[in-house]
Amino acid sequence: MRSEQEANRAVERYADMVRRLCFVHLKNEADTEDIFQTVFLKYVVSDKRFESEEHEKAWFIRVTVNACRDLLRSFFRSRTAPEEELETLAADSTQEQREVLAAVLSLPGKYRDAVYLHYYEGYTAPEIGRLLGKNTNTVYTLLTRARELLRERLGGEEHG
Amino acid sequence: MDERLHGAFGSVRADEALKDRTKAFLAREIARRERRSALPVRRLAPVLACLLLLLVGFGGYQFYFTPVAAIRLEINPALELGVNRLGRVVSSQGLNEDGEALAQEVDVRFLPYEEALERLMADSRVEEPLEAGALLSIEVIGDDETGTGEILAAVETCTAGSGNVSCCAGSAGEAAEAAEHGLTLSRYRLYTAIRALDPSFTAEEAAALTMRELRDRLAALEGGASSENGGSAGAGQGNGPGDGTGAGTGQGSGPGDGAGQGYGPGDGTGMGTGAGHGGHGHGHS
Repeated sequence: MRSEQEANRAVERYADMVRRLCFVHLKNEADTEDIFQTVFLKYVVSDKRFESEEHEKAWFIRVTVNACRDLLRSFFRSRTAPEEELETLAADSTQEQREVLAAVLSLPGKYRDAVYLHYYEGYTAPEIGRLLGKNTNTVYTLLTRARELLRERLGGEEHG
Repeated sequence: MDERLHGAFGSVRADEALKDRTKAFLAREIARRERRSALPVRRLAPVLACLLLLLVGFGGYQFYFTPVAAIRLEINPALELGVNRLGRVVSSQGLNEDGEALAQEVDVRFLPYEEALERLMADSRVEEPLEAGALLSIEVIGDDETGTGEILAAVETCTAGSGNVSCCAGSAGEAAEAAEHGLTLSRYRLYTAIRALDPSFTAEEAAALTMRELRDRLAALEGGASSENGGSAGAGQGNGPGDGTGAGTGQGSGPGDGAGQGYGPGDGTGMGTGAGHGGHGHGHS
């Protein structure tokens, strides 16, 4: 089991990333807090030793994505969780940023992880494939399709 | 578009309140888990549980498989049954060749001893000689008197139908003494009884005779001992103890001080004063 110091360091380092992964999956704060507790507690009780920061970060991504999937799979939760407005979920964002986020959230669920990991975290398609347990070609297809959809939504050819 | 996406995602952050709540939750969990694992009992619980299981298993095994009493059957096949505290037969061992064969062919292990005895007595190797008049001796050996008494009572009940069964109970010490002479307990008792009347009687002889023969021999001695008279030279005066009912058939043999060894026809001529103890005839010469 890890110490409180290690736990706090991990929260400081990965909270934003975990929060964003939650954002692309979940629609309310309560669920997000659940995921935070699940993911960081798993880290605290895990005896896993990480070879590098990259390794540790990849572990957090996998655990968070899986925790979100588990939560969404729960029938009860998916029927009862209230949906919150984007204004609440992305309180610090500007109007323009919220439009982009709304476009991302309008994508089918399977595109969103890949979009976030590629456009924000800078992972390549093969890396995303390894992280999400998907075929590299599938990830390429997901990213291409997502880009097309986002362009359509945002009409942002000129921005791309 | 890449930059717009990057910027938009970047604007989503975990607020400080969420981080603080998560940290507080983790601190609580860590403290709780440390407290729990600090208790030595907790850490040792799996080990203790395993040990306990082992002990219970071993103890149970010991409890079940330790015989507290033995039942010995002897007719011609002789065998010994080990009986545990629960009254079940846990071992069955032949004491001679026929007994060995019987023990192997009639499996009575794990049966209540009453049932085991019934099965053995129903076997032709026991039933036939019994019907032919041979004597079946059943000994219950154990150091717990109440236990052996109980078994003896049960054995007597379940053999009540046959007249030629003799039952007795004894301690392990007595049984060991008998074993030293190479005899079973009931045989040893008859042997000591006969030997008291006839010191020339040996354990080998006792082992060679059937139980029926041993009993007959004892009965004869007891009968004969009463008809003692000093038939030796001199003024040997037989001091018989009694009324001389041993009429003729008795062959009492007493150790005379001199040569006094009388084989009396037994009409109670012994008039002497000394009461021969236990049927001993003393021939004074």
